[in-house]
Amino acid sequence: MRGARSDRKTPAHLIFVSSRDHIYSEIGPLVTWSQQKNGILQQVCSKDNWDAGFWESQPNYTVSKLMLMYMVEGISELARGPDGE
Amino acid sequence: MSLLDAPIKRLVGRFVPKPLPPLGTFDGQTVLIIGATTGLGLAAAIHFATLGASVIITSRVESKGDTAKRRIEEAVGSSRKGNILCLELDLERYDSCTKFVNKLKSILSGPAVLDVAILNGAMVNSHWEESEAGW
Repeated sequence: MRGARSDRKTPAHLIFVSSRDHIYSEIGPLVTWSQQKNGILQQVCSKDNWDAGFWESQPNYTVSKLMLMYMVEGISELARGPDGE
Repeated sequence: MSLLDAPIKRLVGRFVPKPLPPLGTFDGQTVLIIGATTGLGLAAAIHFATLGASVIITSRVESKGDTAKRRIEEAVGSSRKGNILCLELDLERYDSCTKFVNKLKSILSGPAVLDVAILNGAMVNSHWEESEAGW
């Protein structure tokens, strides 16, 4: 889509659907996991870090949304043209 | 803007939808929606098709994709201007993603044809599970 920018009269739109729950993610464990084997992604996926319980049926939901926001920022940066837009 | 603006808007938004753009707003445009067999994705596909777009949806399972395609066509009715197409895509498998992108490139006459891409596909597990790729 970025490559076709000059062939278009109006900008194309790339939309990511997420939730607000990335703001509820705890950062502390991520710092620890970033220093462990294979980094954050491997640790997030590890069964050892699946902290499910009665009150938490989807323990990695907020972290997954935080990862998504990180990815959105990265793609947005890649989509930036030479004019910075 | 007060601290209550955002939560009030969120509450009101659950019951009072924003009005859609005028009919024909997306005439001639091509919209891709990842994860459009149910829920928000399906609703968005119906709206875009009603507003004139050709819509490409994706599905992990062919039968679900066919059902969604039929639902979109029935919802829009005879006034539909664009085509509805369903492609296979399983976001859990990297080879499915690359195969999907190659298929999409072969279908579109050029990269400038895709006007809107909505990345809506997701799933939530209540239990731990390891995918074939080891994630």
